[in-house]
Amino acid sequence: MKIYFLPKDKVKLLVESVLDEFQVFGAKAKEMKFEFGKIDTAAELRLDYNTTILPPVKTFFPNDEKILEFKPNGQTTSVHENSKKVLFGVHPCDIHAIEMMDNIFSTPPEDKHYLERRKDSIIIGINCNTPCSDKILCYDKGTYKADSGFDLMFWDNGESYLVEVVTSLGNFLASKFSYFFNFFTEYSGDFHEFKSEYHKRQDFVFEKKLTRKISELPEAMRQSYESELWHEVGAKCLSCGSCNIVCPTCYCFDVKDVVDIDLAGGHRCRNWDSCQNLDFACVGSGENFREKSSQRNRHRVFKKEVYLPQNKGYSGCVGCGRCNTACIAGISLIDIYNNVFSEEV
Amino acid sequence: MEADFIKMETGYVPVEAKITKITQPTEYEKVFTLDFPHKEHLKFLPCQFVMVSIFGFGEAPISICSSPDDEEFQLCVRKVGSLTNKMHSLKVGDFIGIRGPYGNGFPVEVLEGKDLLFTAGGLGLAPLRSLIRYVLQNREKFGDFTLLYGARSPHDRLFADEISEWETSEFVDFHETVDIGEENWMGNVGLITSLFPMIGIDPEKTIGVIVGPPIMYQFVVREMLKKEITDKNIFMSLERRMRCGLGKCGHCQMNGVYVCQEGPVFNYVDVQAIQEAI
Repeated sequence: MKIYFLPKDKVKLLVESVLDEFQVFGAKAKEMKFEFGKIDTAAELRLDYNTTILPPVKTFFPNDEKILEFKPNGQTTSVHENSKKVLFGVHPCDIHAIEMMDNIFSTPPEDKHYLERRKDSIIIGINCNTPCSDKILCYDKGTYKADSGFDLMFWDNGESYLVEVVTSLGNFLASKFSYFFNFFTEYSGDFHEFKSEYHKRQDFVFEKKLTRKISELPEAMRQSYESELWHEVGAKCLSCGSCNIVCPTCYCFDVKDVVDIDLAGGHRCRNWDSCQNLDFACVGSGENFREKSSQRNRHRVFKKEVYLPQNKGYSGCVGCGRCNTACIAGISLIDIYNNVFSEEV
Repeated sequence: MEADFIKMETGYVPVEAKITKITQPTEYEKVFTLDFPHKEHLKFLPCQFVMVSIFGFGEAPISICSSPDDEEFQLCVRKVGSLTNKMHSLKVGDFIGIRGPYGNGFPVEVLEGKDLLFTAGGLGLAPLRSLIRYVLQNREKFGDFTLLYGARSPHDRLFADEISEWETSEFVDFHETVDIGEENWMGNVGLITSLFPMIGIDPEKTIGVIVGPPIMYQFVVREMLKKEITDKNIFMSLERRMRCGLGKCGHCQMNGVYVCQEGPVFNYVDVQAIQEAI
């Protein structure tokens, strides 16, 4: 691990240099919010952003992703994209989400489409000085900080950033811009002490939202399976699917064909899908295995807090709060979790 | 039987298969016989499924209805959506895309040396036919074989020629019924559960297998339990929506279980722990 010292007024120069060599993705202003997308100029990139509308991980799992091309003669080609990408300024919660999705898509049978996009990508994290909003759960979840899942991490140090380089890809980026490194000086202070001071400052401004410890959630949730709560949530829900679309750990998809306008071929693509859609679990005979909104809402939450912990050993919610913000019916995971906690005997 | 069937590690790329024969047992179902470029594409286990694709019309999961020991590879397809409607318009000599086989398939070794009670409802006869034919082809490995089949009406009966053979065969005790009879129908009329009083089995030695429409499972399970077959000796193949077959897209999930990976064949003991299963 190496630690560098980067004055904030040099960040723009660094971004410009990176842009010369790589595709850069990061947060940029979109009306009153921020979106995570492709950066064309250094001035566009914002490091002082709150939660982006869509999460960074969608860079590797885009909507309308072309997976196959087909010709009328039956010739089929698998489509993969593997340009070198730098994700510049990813919050710790989203880093946790990327780590989770890496695990999901590399579990056999592997998903080469995701893995190819992900393979040569460099993740530059940035720690959060303050909470993004009051909709987030990252302090309860422990995802307001990340120990892995990034190649470089920016730590706010007032007029400068401390840049933690932890992987060979991180070192690769550093050496790639060695001509640039006269702006960097090796940081001589005690980094561990700096980190612990930083996290102490976070302890002052981040607050817990749940009435009980997050480790108690899967069991409490399991016991809520037959709870009236799901009917209440289901009655509010409009089944619009916004919660799934903005979620950094939702990975369900649909597959559909698009035929070229000249009928000379076409492609097969996958689109983000939502388990809240009425026909999500509907089969050809018309049987719908989750016909009720209450069942679909329970499935969304159980997938994250019961099934993934059970099958994979991690929660499928990183507490970013996007679903709580996106829901037009005012459904909030914070309320659901606290209700589950209060119901459990 | 050898279980080292080949899982094609090709992601979403289908293999081109040529339609060599088409038969139409009912108004809505056709049976397609397919020829693959390589013989290893034909290796599978009973109750596995493939993703069928026609470019421009998408993909759908279809159960294999031929036996692994058959010379021919067959799919029975009901006309129900855009892909299957398109498929019904195809002719011998046309090509379709196939990827798979997917799913766990039937653990045929647990059936060896046992008496068998198979129950098929409606289109469930298609996937079960793979196992039925396999049992008849390897008849010496199994004890008594009882097969129950229920169709909606006489003209919805699938594989009528084979049914005629089963009716007179000394190798299988075959009973069938239809939900709604017709003027010329001389057979049983009633739900599939009405066949259970007609059969005698040895519950100590019998394995029950159920494939049918979702509504059927709990009623047939109840009949099997009444016959004192134990939970662990009941198996079933479950249908779900599937878009990838690779354990990712989420559509086939019942609680925490991906049917395309851990199923479609489940033991009743496991099914009882999955609230959304039946």
